[in-house]
This record gives sequence, C-alpha cells and structure tokens, in this order.
Amino acid sequence: MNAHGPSPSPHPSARRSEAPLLEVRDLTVEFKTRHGEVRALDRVSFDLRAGETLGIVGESGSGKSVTARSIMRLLPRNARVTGGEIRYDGRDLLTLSDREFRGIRGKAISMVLQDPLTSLNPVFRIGWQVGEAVTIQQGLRGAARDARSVDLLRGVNIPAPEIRLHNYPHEMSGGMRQRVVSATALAGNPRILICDEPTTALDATIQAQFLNLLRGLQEAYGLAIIFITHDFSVVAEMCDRVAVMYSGQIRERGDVFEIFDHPAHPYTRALLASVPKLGETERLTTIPGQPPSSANKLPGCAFAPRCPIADSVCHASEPPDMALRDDHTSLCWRAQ
Amino acid sequence: MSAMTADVPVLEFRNASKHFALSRDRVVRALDGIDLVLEAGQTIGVVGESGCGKTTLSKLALMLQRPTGGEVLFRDMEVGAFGREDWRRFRTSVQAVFQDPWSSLNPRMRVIDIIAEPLVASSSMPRVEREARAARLMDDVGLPRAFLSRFPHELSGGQRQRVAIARALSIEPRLIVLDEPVSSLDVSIRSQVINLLKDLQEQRGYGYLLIGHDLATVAYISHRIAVMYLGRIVEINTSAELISDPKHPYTQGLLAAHLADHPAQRGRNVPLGGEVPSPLSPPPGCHFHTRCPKAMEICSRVEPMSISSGAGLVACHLYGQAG
Repeated sequence: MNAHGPSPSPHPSARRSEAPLLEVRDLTVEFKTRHGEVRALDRVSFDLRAGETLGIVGESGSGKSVTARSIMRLLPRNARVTGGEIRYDGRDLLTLSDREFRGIRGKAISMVLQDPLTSLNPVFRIGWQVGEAVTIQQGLRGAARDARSVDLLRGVNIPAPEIRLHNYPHEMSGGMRQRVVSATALAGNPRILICDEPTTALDATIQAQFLNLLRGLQEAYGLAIIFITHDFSVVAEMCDRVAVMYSGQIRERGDVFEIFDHPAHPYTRALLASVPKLGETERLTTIPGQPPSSANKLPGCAFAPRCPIADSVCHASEPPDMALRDDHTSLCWRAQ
Repeated sequence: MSAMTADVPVLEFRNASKHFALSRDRVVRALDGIDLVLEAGQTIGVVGESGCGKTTLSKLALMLQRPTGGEVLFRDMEVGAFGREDWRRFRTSVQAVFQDPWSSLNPRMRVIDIIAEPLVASSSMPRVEREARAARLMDDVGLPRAFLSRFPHELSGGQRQRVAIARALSIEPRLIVLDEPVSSLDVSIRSQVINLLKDLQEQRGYGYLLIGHDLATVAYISHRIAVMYLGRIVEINTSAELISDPKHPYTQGLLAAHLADHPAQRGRNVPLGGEVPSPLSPPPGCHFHTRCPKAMEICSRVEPMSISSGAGLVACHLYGQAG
C-alpha cells in the first residue's frame, strides 16, 4: 500500500540527485550490562537513497546488527537509543509510538534475518506464515490472501508454490526457507529491505542464487536495500555504497568502487588484504590482536591498538570524520 | 620424535564407501568409491555443497567410522587390521581441529590441561615436561603463555581456535583433519589462523585433510583439491589447475558461485541452478546430470569413470572420448 502511496520525492527514478529515503544521524545505542552502560553504537550516520544497496560491513561486535535492529525497533530489552535520529519520509522514526511504528515495520521497512530456520515458526505450515504477513500487512483474508501468498512465493522463484504452501519449514532446504522469509518480508510492499547476513548460513551455490534473486526483487519492487555482512565479496557483488563499522562506529564510508580501489582507513585496507582471493598465493595480511570489547573503552581511536600506522595522536584522542573525495569519509587521523 | 617416512602416504582411501541403511530398502550412500591419497606435508582440500559427503569423509579419516566397502589406510595399514598397538600408534599420530571452538573445548578445563590432554592419553610423559611442552605450543600458535591458566570462556573465538590447534599439535601428529577450521572466525582473525596452519605445515611436515566450503580459502591452503558431489569425487586436481582450468561442470558451477573480489566483476557469473538432490535417491548415471548445463543423453544412464586430465582426474562424460 505504502509503496503505491504518494512519493515524497519529485524524481523517484533519479538515483543520485533525490533526497535520501532514510537518514540516520548520530544514532547512539547503549546496553545496560553487569559492567554498567556499554555504548554499542556511537554517533552512527548514513543515508540510504531510493533503489540503492548500502552495505554495512563489520566483524562481530562492530555494531552492524545493532544498527539494523535499532531501525526496526527490534533491540533487546536492555538496549536503549540514547541519541540521534532515524528519518524516514520526513519523520523521525524514533519519535513514533509503537502503534504508529506498526505502519512502518513491514510496510515501509522490512527485514530478512540470517537464519531462516529461526525466523520461521517450525509448527506452522509455510502457507499460514506467509498468509499471516499478508493479512497483517494488506488486510487480505481467505482466497485473496491465499492468492497473494502464492504470488509472493512465485515472486521469489519457489517452484510449485501452491504445493509448497502446505509444507512445514523443516521440509524445505535452507535456500528455499530463506526465499520464504523474503516473500514474507515483501508482503507489505516495503520500500526498504534490511538484510542481516541473509546468506551466511547458505552454501556458496545457494548464496549466489539468493543474491541473484535479491537483485531481481530490487528491480521488480524498486527496493532500497541495507545489506549487513562481514563478507567483502558480498559487498563487491551487491552494494552501491559501503559503510565499514568497527567498535560501534562507522570508520569509513563511500562508493563501493572508491572503497575497493582507494580504501582510506587502515582497518578497511587490512580487511580487504586479509581475505584470500581466488587463485592468489601471496601470504595473507593479518590484523594483529583482537577486536576490542566495548566494555573497556580506551581514549583515542578504538582501532589504534591494532593499527599499523597509529601514532601518539591516535592513542590520545578520537579521530574526526575526515571528508575525502566526493562521498568518501574516513574516521581516521591519518586518512589521506 | 620418530623419523618421518616421507614415501608412505599418511592417509589413503581405496575405493572406500560408506552406506547407511535406514531400513531394508532405503540406503544413504554417503560415500561411494572414494580414491584419495594424502602424502606427508601435503594438504588435500575437500569441497562440495552440504550433503555431499565431506563430513563422512573426515569421520572415516579419523577412523571414527569404518567404511562399508573398500579400504581406508593410515600409513599403509588398513584400519580393519589394526591391532592394539596399531590403534595406539594411530591415536598418537592423528588429530582434528573442528569448526566451532566453542563446543570443541571442555569449558571446565584450563587451557594448559586442554593442550596437554593428548599427551596424558598417549604417553607417560611426566607432568612437568607436559606443561613445559604446553607452554612451547602456546608460543607456536602465537598465544601468550599467561593464557595457560585461563578457561576457554575467557578467550575469544580466534584464541580458542589457536588452543584447539595447539592441542592438535601436542603429540606431533602426522595427520590433522581440519573441518572448516576458520569459518566460525571473524574475518580479521581468519588470516592469522590460515597463515599459522601453513607455517606449521612447512616447518613440521604435517599432512592436512581440509574440509571447507569457501573455494578461495581452500585453494589458498591446499596443494590439491577434491570436489565432491553426492558421495563421489567428481574431480581432483592441483589447486592451481582446478581453479584456472576446471573440467567438471560441477567444479565450474562452484567456481561460478564464488563471489566477486572487486565490484567490477559483479554479476559476471551465472550461478549453478537447483540444489543437491536427496542422497536417499541420487539421480542415476552421473549424479550431477539433473543440474548440469552440459548434460547429454548418456549422463542419465551411465556413471562416468574417472579419467586423467592434466595433473588430476575428472569423472565426466564430456571427456570420455578425448581422455
């Protein structure tokens, strides 16, 4: 419904020039733990434009999933957004009541999680679960709901969808289950789809199939996608722009070609060099040390203890967000 | 340590099969006619989608399961013929590193005891010596000796995996089965562990049987790669040749599933369609023919024989006549 409503932008097809669909500004999230308040996100800012794919890359604990979950209001109970804005369609989503937010979740912004086995309920048939989403998102019931469910399953290339509706999740393969989850996510015709490591649990062949499907869906639905991943090859394959996260902050941000060809942050550079490339045999670059635990924050740049070019400034004070070429920024004292 | 005899393969599969009977007429052919030779100091990588038999292969290599047909040999000795002393020798020569360092380390043991445990089980080495050995192994895997008194939950995933590797090295094994050793680790930690595994092999001549799913990582570590599909090896070759000149359409499909290393390469590959069929009722003839873009009439009738191709072997009718 929402996707067919009046568009906030006068040029819905122009990708570069129009106002962003989603603006995240200085988003800060804290978790209450036994060791006190822990800052999981620290002033995270990014834009998502209509129809584009933004990759958010990071390792475990970097805050990439927390970012996704704060947008969807799916944070655990001990987490709290303590600052910032999430603007969609001219409104700050953080100011909406839970009731108002139901008009956003699934309808404007939807999400696909990593493990399709846990996002589907094992005791209900596929048809019931897709149908539930259709009822909630579009108010359809009975034959209209079933017809729409079949359409959705067909849209994600599930063969013989009329038969598949009667299957339980355990009767389907991982790749098929992830397609069902995507169909459910698309039931409300969202404009933004957040994918949190949707292919990590899948075989490489099935991952490639799923990414291909996602590209097709993006085209068909005019989706803007936020792709949360730890895998730079998924970024290379899918994303228009990239944000690299480390220790709760976006360290570097820019066009995907720019990031691959001219990575400015030492962390991005090291990550790109530490992944084996097909057919190459040179020794891999390693990043010494361990990712920091967010519990004990040191002064200065959080990456400094592992950084090959850190100097005394880096250890002493937090780096500024340096603007480089065009859209490219790097949170680093030494960025050029 | 005893002298390495380089001429005898560490591990050999001779026409080995593993069938699981679910009922009288339902048999899962998890492995079917596997031939594989692993020389000392070498790594064979095994790739294929889930359900292709990789894990069963590793269980047979560890002698956790016996083949239902053919033979599995450890240093020219057939497992079935193992006597008491042979088993002792086997267990003091073979180790494994598994995917998940959270479940493969005993949470109630300290690191020092975890690493020294294989020595307790396999030798009468005095405690002091064992602990000195554990400390040296910490150096080898790049962990601070101070961690020896810690428990696994006090370590990160990468550190735990290093402990698992140190434990595997404690008895100077000849063969280490590596079952997805880096897939559960963070990207920045993976390259540390990969480099470590390569260095240790170069210094000490371990044989590695590496089970993996990321072709680039497997190719980076392995000398040769065996590609498995529904219980059979469909192609085996040196890593370099398999990557640059894949013969079997399934190998080509796996390579096509490899994602771009740079955005300029995106979307260049048409991924392999379909999924692995149930091993309960594998397609007749060549198991792969139902997904093969180059399938011919013969493929659904006749199982292809392995024929040599360059430095390797391929089982595909496309190369039947030319070979």
